[in-house]
Amino acid sequence: MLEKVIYWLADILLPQNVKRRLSIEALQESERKTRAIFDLTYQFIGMLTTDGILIEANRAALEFSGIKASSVLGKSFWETPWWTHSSELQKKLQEGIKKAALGEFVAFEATHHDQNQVLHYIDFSLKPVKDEAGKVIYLIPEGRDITERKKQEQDLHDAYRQLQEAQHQLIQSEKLKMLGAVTSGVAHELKNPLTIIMMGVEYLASTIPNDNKVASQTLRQIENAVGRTDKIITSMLDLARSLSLEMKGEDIVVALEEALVLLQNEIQKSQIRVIKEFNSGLPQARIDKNRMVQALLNLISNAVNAMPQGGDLTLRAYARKFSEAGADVGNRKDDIFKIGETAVVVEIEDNGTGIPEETLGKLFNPFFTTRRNAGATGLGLAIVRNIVDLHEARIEIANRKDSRGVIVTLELKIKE
Amino acid sequence: MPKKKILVIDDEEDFVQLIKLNLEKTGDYEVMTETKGVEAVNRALEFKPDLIFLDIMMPDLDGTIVMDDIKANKELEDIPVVFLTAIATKTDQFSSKGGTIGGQQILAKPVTTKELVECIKVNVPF
Repeated sequence: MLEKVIYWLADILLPQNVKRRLSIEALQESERKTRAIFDLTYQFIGMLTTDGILIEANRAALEFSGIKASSVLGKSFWETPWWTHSSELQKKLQEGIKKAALGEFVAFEATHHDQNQVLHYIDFSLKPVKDEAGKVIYLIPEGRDITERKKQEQDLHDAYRQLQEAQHQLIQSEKLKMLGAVTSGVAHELKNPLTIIMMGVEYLASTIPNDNKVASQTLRQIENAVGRTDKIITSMLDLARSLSLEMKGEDIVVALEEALVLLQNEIQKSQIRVIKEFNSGLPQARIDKNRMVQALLNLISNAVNAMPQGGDLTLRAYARKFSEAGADVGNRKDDIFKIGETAVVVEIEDNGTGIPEETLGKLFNPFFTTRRNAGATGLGLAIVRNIVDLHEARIEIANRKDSRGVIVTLELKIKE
Repeated sequence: MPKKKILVIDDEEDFVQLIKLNLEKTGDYEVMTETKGVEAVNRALEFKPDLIFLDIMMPDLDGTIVMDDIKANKELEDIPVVFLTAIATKTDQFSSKGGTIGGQQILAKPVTTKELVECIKVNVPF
């Protein structure tokens, strides 16, 4: 427009030779200024026809994505490399162009790849340019790189979330500590009277006449009740106590063997065959050995209980290096294991009846048990979960795919 | 075979009485009881037990101090002492090799006569 006016004025007012020189200079000057503003701004700017054909793109936009002007000018804007990585964005842009062509201002957040194929966040807008009559003649697309700001926002958000989480954990751990203190106090106080009841019942049982069946049965019932009460108290004490650990580098195989020794009787009673597949030269695991033995004891004991008619109990220990991201594995801050990190893995496998699918999600809930009638407290796996969490370790309990039965996978940090 | 002599030190009067009743009923043991921690060493010196069951949480004197006093006494140092306590749980008892904590034998309350007898048999074989 401006160029046309200058031409016209110059034509009227100036002699021919001056006119020619001046007009060229003025044009060049004007062109330089416009071009400089257009090209040197950090913003990405371009110009589209109302049907979305790209007719101008500034240097910032072209250089950012390593694109040659000749390869994009004259093309539909949505088919240029700024947009082709996402069909969703392409669609959004096409719709935006339609709206802007009707005179609307359009803005949305987009992403563009830079020349190194790194994805950037872009604050994108489309402004309609109108002529004197108000008719839209061009569209001006503009983009501003907001990756840095987004990152800061994300970092701030992450930091806030971590703070919240830490606070939550602190409150939780304070609560648990208090619960632990109350529990152990109560539990200890209960144990002495329980012992007296137990001893008293034993004495009475040995003195009543053999033919008094009702009395013996009653005493046996009291004895069972005392046994159950004791079991609950013990579990609660274990749970309360599993809240703090002393970590050292230990051989996990030693812990496994210790747990096995403690279950020797039960294993023999149910005629279970123990298969040990322990790799040699394993790195030391970072564990509190006593607590880890307790966790393994609970897990192996479950496996044994799952095979009352006998079966194979397979124990494995090996090292695994995480090569790709997965659940709790990756380079996010909350991931337990980083990619490239090595873990000591323990597997405990039985060939019992397995776990019903609807139960799998509840296994770690305190007091959840399917063997309540058999005197189970339902605290066993809750204790395991506690111990595993405190070890910053990972546990998975699943039904086996290769056969019936359950496989427990425990992944432990190694001592650095 | 002469009866084995067992000394039970615990501040709960009812408890020590019942232990005495149950152990003596087996016919294999002679049991003396003491409810005061401070009297423990004297009682042991006069009774010369084959084994001592010792509570830890006693109001007048902590069982661990009683233990030190017993072990420091030349006449008593070889007598096996087993902590009989509510502080430890069965998990501690079983998850420690041979039912010991730091080399010290423990029995977690509540105990049965059977457990007591087994423990005596292990510690006093003849």
